[in-house]
Amino acid sequence: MQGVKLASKAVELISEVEEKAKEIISEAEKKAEEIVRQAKKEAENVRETMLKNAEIEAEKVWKEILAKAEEEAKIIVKKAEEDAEKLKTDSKKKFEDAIKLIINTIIGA
Amino acid sequence: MKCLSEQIEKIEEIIINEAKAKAEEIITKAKEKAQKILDEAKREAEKEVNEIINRRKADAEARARRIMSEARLEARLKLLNAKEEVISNAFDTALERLKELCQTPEYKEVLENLIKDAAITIGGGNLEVLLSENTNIEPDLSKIAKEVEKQTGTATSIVISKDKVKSIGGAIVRSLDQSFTVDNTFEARLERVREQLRVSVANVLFKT
Repeated sequence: MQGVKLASKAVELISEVEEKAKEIISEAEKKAEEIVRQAKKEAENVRETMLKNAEIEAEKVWKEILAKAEEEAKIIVKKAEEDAEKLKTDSKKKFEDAIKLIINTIIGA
Repeated sequence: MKCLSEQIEKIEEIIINEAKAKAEEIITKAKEKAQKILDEAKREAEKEVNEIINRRKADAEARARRIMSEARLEARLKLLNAKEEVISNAFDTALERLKELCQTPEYKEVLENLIKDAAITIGGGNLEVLLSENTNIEPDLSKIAKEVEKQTGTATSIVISKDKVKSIGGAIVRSLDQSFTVDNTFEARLERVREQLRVSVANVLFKT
């Protein structure tokens, strides 16, 4: 009879420990879920930060390329203006020849 | 009794240790999974970052090409406009000089040559000359007629028409039956050769 009691007590004790073990595992699972949840949150934050920085970087690249192009365009136009002025100045030397050519052609000389 | 108690404790210890080990494994796996999530997110984000920057860069480069293209076009137009201005000025000045020429004694010979040229083009015959309403010069028509006859082999007579033309100078010659007309006014001659003359004038002015 005492043997049965002892065995019963033993089963009871082991059951309690098993419950405790389940709690330990359950706690670990909750913690694990939290770790993964946090990781997902962090991943989203990292992604957002990286994309935000990318937009800033892209804007910088955009501005640099356009600024360079606009600068080069200004140089091209400025040079053309200078060339145009030079062309006008240089043509003065031959202006009389051109007029003579026109007049002679018209009068048939 | 003691023996059983010890055995139970041993079992309890095993159960707890196994639970702790499993818990540790769960946490370790969760950490690994978390790291994997982060790594994957970073890798994906890196791709997006590159796409964003490359797309924006490509857009900027396309726009830059347009800016450069427009600048080159503007530059070409500035040069063309400058040339056009000089050529136009040359033609305007030439016409002014022609107006002045009409007031000089040299104009008589010029006019006679233009009449002769037109008359020869018609092939001689009975012709009349329409002079500019501004001219008082009287060309030597009999001399011209003789030269036309010589050139064309056709008997030629030339008279001054009562009709006048609005022109800086030169003349219109036509057969009396008005079947042939040659317009040798300065303006008409200019119009006939303008495009070709523009090229020649441009060559004189700008050829280096």
